[in-house]
Amino acid sequence: MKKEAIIKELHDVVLEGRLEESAPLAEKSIELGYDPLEILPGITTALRVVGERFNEGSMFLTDLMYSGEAAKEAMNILTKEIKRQKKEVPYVGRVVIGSVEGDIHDIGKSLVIAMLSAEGFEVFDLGIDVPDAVFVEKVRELKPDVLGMSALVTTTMLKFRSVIASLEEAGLRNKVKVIIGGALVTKNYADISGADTFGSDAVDGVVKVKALLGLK
Amino acid sequence: MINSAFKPWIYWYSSPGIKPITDAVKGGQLSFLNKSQIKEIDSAGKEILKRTGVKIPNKTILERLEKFGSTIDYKEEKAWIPSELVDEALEKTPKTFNFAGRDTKNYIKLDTKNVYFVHGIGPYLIATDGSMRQPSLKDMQDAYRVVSACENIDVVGIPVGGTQSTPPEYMDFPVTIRRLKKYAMMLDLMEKPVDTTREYIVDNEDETGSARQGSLDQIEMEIAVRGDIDELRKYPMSLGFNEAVSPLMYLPKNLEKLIVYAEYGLPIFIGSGPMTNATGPATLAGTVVLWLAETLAGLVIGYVMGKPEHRSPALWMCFTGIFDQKAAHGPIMGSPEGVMVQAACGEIAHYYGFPLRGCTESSSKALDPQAGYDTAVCLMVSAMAGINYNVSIGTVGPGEIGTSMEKMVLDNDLIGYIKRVMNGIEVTEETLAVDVIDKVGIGGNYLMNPHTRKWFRKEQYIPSLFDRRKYEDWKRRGEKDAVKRAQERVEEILRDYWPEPLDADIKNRIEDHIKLVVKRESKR
Repeated sequence: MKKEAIIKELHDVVLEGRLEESAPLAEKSIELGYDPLEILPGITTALRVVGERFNEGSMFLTDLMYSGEAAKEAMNILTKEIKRQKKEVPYVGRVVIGSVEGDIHDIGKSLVIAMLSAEGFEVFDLGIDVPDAVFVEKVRELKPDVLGMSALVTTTMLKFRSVIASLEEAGLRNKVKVIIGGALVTKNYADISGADTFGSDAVDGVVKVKALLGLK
Repeated sequence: MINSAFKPWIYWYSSPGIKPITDAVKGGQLSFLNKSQIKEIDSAGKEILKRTGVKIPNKTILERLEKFGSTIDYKEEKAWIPSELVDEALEKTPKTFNFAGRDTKNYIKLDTKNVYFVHGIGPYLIATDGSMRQPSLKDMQDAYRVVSACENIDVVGIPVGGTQSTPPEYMDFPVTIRRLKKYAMMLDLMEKPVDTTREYIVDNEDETGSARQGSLDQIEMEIAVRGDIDELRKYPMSLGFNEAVSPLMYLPKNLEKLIVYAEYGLPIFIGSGPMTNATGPATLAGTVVLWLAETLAGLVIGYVMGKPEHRSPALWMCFTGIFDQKAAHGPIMGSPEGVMVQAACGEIAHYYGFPLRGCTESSSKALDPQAGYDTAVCLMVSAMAGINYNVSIGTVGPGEIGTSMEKMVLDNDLIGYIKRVMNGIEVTEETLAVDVIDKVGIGGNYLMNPHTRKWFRKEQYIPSLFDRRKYEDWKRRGEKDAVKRAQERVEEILRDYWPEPLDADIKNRIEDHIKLVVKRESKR
């Protein structure tokens, strides 16, 4: 299989969310000795198309998640190879994300993760019901460009404020941009919490993260 | 699988496997009459035909009716029809048939169960603010393209109600040729069946020729499209329109048309639209009785004029509405009473085994909430009551005065809702999803699950224009209301969408036929 053919096939596999085929295809490209950095664009271009179609309403949430997952599987294999070759993975930024303590909702968060990955971010998912201390610890350890916090209900939304206060106490607040999100989160709420910005939904969230980092 | 030109609203065209048109929704979830009430209406209708009779201004038909046992008054042009003859016609008239446009692959099957949604006709083009104008040839072509792109509209109507909407470009031709040219233009742009159920091609204002000649010209053109009459009988393209004028009268021109269709064994289209309070009794049941008498008379006429070797099947119609006591006009079909009477007529037609065409136009003059409410409520009731052929989609104003391209695309989403409701809830081992629920377990979600992936498109109708996004998202997308979105969709369709061109052979045959008629007319 020629390199161009593999890139094209990987593109289609991701676009159509053919989950079982993506990892084997990525492995095949490595076996054939192609430079993973040259294979990668097949995935990212497809993810961009998926994002556009979701945005215009011709692909739907489940399609998007399948594409995201297919991309992730292939990406894991390629990045492992890139690191093995002691090269650098060309991420556009690093994001740490999680649902705050007491909040067990993760659909919106999964969506944001899928879309951020599609845009070339390296995303660390802390999961749901994440204690304040864990957010602080991970920000210190991973040095992300952006910390994303999610909360669906008004009671757990109060946690945004306390996590940000803990970051301040630890002297980390000025080292990381903070974005919050969730069904009821508004700009006003972002201001009150001390976050840098908010995402009204997943698409908006990605736009705002890119804006925070001065990316287009 | 997904190409770059993929648009949800042309899903039908981009996925050859999915053709909702041949996969009709089934009606009958809603009913207004019980069996014994239907029987009472049945005998009341037949009693009117025996006792009051009906006016049929056509000597040939009256003579034939007399031969079949009716009592005739030739001077008054009246016939009293015995119940035995009615029963014979009910029994022997074929009850189901196919109907198609230029392409027999895209046919609909008219029977008592299938429910179709049919774009209406409106002589004028109505803008979103309610302003009206005479459409040009291009306007008409645009309207056909928009309706062709609406995947939920099964049959396309013609925005040409009468001579007033003939494209100015065709006005110099004699009426017969004008109509044929319009028909040819439609076939050129329409892949779906074309609603030729009304007096499109030959109308009552035809001053140059008889309705008979006009009907023959039209049928000959359809034979040219199909190749031969047998193929046309298998997949008819038009119906012999024979509307009774309430109370209890038939019109000479309509009868001429009916005779032609009965002779050819092509489907006839019979019924009436008595208006409660005015041309029918104020009571809904009485209006149904009058409608039934008029419709049965039409059926009997078709039967006695037909040929036993190829009898014409019949589509029944009811375009009853109220004659509104406040507005002082009618029929208001898109009204609770109008749609209930039509639904009751449908139940009676189904009782005899015939499909019924109904009409639920909104009386609103602009594309406003009333237009939406009228259409939504009445169309839903009509479809669920099992009315098989629902016209008036995409029109605004009483009497379907105008065609609104924006309403076409909005109605398209509405029909999606209705079709979805009518498809009901499927209960199988797979849809009960016990294994899936067990696998996802406690917590988690079903979004990324093969079961979801397999079923969500089937289980959920995803509207194309009705917006369900969050407030902030809607705001970010320009705060567009439904009418604005509809305008943009229409622009998008007119920019991007062209139907498949008509087969060149068929096109040539149509042109040859028109040339023949032109030659004949020039000798007159």
